[in-house]
Amino acid sequence: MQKHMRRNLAMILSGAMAMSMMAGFAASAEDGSDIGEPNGGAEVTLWHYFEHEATALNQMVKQYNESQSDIYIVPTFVSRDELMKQYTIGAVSGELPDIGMVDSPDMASYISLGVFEDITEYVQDWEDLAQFYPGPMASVKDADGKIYGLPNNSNCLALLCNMDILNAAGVENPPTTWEELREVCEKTTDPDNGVYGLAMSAISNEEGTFQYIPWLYGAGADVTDVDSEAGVEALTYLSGLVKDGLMSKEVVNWGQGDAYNAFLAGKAAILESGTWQIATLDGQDADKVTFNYKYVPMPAKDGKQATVIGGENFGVCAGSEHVAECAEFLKSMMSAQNNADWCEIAGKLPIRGDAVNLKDFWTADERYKVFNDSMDFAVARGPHESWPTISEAIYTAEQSAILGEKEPADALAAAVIDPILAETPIAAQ
Amino acid sequence: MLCAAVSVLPWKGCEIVRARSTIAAKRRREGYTFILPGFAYMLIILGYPLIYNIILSFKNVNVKTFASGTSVFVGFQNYIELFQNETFRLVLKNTFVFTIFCLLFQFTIGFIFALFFSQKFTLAGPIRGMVLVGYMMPMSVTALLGKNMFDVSSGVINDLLMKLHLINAPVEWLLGGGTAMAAVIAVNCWVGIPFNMLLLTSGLTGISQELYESASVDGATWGQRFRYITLPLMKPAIMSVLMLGFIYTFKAFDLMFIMTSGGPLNATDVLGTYSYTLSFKQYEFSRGSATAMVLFCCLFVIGLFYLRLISKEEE
Repeated sequence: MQKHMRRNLAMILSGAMAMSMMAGFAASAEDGSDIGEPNGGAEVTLWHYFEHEATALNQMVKQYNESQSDIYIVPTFVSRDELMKQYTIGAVSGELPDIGMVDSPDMASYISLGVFEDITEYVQDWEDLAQFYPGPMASVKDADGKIYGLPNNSNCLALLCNMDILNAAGVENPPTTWEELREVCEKTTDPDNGVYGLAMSAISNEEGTFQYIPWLYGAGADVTDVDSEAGVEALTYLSGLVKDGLMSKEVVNWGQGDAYNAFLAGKAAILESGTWQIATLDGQDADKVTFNYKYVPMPAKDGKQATVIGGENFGVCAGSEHVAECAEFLKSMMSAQNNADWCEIAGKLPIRGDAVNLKDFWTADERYKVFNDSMDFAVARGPHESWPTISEAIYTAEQSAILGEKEPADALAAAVIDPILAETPIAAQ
Repeated sequence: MLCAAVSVLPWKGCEIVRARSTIAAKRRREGYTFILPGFAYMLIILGYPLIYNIILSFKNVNVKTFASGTSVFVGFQNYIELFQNETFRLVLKNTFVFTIFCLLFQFTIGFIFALFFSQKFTLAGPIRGMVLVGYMMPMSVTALLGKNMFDVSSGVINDLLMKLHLINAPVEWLLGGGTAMAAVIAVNCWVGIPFNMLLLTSGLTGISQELYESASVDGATWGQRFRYITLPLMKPAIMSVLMLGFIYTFKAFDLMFIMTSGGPLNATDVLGTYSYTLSFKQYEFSRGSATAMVLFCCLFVIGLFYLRLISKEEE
């Protein structure tokens, strides 16, 4: 009997080990598309998590590989979560790519962890630097103003309205204020068909915080005083929408993609939507867009409007043997023309003023124009090395109010952010 | 005889003893050589990370001190802070609630299944094999299925319950603390039941049918046969299953990580996921390590029990 058990046990254990090993292999796969023939230069690796934008990235890399022979750049797709884990592990083990992509609010932490190389000497005298917008640029610097990378693209949030649902409910124009938004939600919510007024992401990760920031700043508060009167008002507004059945409670489990899918399926009249979603509306989901829609800026409260800046940066990773060459590539990648070309293809906002002026793409398409104009009142997250901890405090408060665990004021009072900021304040931009 | 020889010829005796001790030493060396690969493996693969983790848990390595190398030893501060932290206490409680309920259900149901399928009826074998599918499936797939099935508006479970008129409004499974915990326990049991069934089945097949036959002849009822034959003979198997089940369940990670991300509001956060969050999401490496150490210590105690049990059995 014992023998039987042991043998079975051994089988199970070895099976379990094989399974977990297989899971480990599923990490990364090289993008098969054309990046040019090897140019004789040293091979440098570039890790990114672009999906529908990957082809455009490879095109740009190909161009660069063919234009010089110092380095040969090989881009590799690594999913965002996996990439973040690899940076953290790489900080210890030193196993890092030469060039790495990073979500802008995470950059400060990685700079602090020593993941990125100081490239100040290669870029500080670059006259183009003056053209970069201050918000994205601040996210690649440390507290001493040293530069660790260059921003690549920006995005922000706006409201995406399903005009068919709005019109059917007797609403002619998309909402422009908080009060109007609530009214529209009341009119469009249809419990019998599972249609809600608003959809957003309030998930327990950075996406949740990202989507909360416009409401926080729109109410007149900011991350240094989330529990102020204005801060409480913002959370009361959002949790009120859920409490009154105008927004699904499921938003606490929705990433931005899930909220977008709910909107696309006609389960929400209005979506808090990001710039990058225009590209998916036009591309992979074109046949699902069977309704008229319209983008409008985030609603105003007492004349005050706010949205949040998102976007990705590229940095040269610590330990690379080709820091100077990689920095040159970053400069070329972020030249006005390249940045404009790239952002047009990828459906993003450029990070430098002169790039916007090169094309009428961001002004002619009224959808992109909404986002481009919104950048005037967009706020950045951080930069702060402990941003993930601050972010956790914010989305936890948001979730406890939405789920009805706590009153908004109590939930926000429990968000411990002040001691973190007292120790290291957010660098002024 | 030998003693006499030694006493008569003391110098010879010394030689014999010396020769013996060199042989013994040689054999001991040989023995050490044999265990060396295993020992080295343990030391490198298990010992190094463990010791590294223990050291890390007594320092203050975080996003600020990591690269600058300014971390210092802080004694038990990480542990003290953890136990003062409301979230950590909740996570610890969750881990035990999850483990105990999972064990309870998966063991009971697994045992019933094992008994049921040990009956000789048509298709007993194939059906038993099919029950094992749950165990064969990678946990990530199971967790994703669970996430979709327990979805409030589009999940099949709510749909089913509504159609059967057991509920009037959808249950907010993964939106409420208690219901989310129930959901992850249910999904974990789906995996755990076949595991328990498999181990208990092999225990059952080890019991000679003759025992049951003679007990029947003596007029023992089904209950009596179970109570006085099956249970006592199955005791070692049962203990092993419970111990292994405890260890497997206590260090759960992938299920919650994928199905609920530990939410809502840490309601399904367990030590494994919480440790990951601290280390990899907030870069609080030392506190993450301390959490992992708490997990390790709990399992270490259980492991000791298990080892004692095994050695007792072998005696």
